[in-house]
Amino acid sequence: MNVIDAMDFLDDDLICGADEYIRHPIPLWRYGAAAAACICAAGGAAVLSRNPAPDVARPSDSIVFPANSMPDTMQPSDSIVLPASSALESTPDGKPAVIFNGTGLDDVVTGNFFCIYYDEKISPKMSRGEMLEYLGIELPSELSGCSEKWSEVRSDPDAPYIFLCCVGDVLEQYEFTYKNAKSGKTARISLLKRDGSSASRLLESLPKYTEEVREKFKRSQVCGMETIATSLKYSDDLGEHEMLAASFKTDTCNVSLTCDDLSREEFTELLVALTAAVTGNSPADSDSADFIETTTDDIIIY
Amino acid sequence: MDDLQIVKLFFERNEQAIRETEIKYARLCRAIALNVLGSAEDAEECVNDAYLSVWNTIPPANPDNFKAYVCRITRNLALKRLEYNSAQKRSSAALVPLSELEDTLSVKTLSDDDGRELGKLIGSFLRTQKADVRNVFIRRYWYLDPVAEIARKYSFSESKVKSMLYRTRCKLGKYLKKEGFDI
Repeated sequence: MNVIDAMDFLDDDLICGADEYIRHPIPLWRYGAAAAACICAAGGAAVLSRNPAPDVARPSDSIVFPANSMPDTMQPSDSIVLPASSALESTPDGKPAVIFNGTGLDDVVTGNFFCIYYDEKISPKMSRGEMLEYLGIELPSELSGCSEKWSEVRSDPDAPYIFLCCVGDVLEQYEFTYKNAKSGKTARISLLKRDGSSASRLLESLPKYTEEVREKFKRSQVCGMETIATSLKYSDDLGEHEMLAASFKTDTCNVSLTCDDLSREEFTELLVALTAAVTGNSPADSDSADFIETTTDDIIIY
Repeated sequence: MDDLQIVKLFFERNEQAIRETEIKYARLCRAIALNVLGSAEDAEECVNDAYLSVWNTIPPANPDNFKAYVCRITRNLALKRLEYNSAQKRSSAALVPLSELEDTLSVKTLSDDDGRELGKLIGSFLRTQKADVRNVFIRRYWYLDPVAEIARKYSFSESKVKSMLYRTRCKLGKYLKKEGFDI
């Protein structure tokens, strides 16, 4: 008998527990809610507005979609519905550039620059896999909403930024993974629909220590916006970690940004750029030099 | 159908029991067998053997946890088949987690009693670990899931899963030594 055989003597509850266990990676900083997203195309700027989504996007465009256009709920298993007015173009290097008008956003990948909007009212329906196959994008076999999987979508390694969107596995959350192509580091941007009921459900889903921690967030002016941020040091069996989180709120949206990979400088840089893009204000209006401070120790994030 | 009803069908020698087992657990059993054997054909045969084994053992067996019972039989049959396949020089991905464990724990071939004791100690150790750590470990070394699959399932990076497994193995080694297990 070897060690693997000996594992057979684990108790039933441990064995079944591992099969039934579902880990919900709920970032700490999720409260309030609004529909909004901003995406940097290569060399472009992130923009957020109430304007309707454009019919056609080009690589140099910023992607804009209305804050009120998110569907109420979306799950990773949802189908994408193509509206009749879908537009299809190619980027100068022949990559697909597509924007589908719709009432919301399901999946966005830029860099190669295509966008997929979600509209539950218009047919025909296509699965995400079918959609991407249609677009000529080769994906990993499993499309489960995992941002890491989606990061493999990118085929242009020289794109300075890539924003990936995947539908969160909980409630009305939209997650974008920001990836710096050079360093390979990532951050997540969570965008939540403004909805009182969903916001309260989200709050309920947060760990109980959230309220305690939230009071210790540091408030600063970034690009003229009051922005709240914190650095949480926590430890688990794998050692000490630091998680950076920030959030700001405009009259149309809440934007929350969490990461556990970026350095403080990179995180602040991203946050300033994001805030400037969303608000149109100048980065010079930021007092970000000492923006992130360590406030809390020994927090278990998940 | 819930597990109690399925077990009841087995006790009644009603062949519907196997069909219900298949409906409920075929996917899980197939995944376990496939993880071990790496061959869909072998896995399918193994799962069918498992159903037969369940049919032959219930009754008299009356498992408290039917799901674990079925999975355990599937895993054991798959590991036996793996042993046979390995002797036939047929490799399997399951050999990788096996070598991972043996590299860290350096346990010699165990008697049945020692194996049982080791399994119980591992269980006790895992109960002291956080849910993420515990379940990642069990997924890897009980279900023999590939690292990539665990990472996908739990939304971790693969490197994080590998790191968790390595640290857990090291801690387990220390724990076993402390408990007087010869490794």
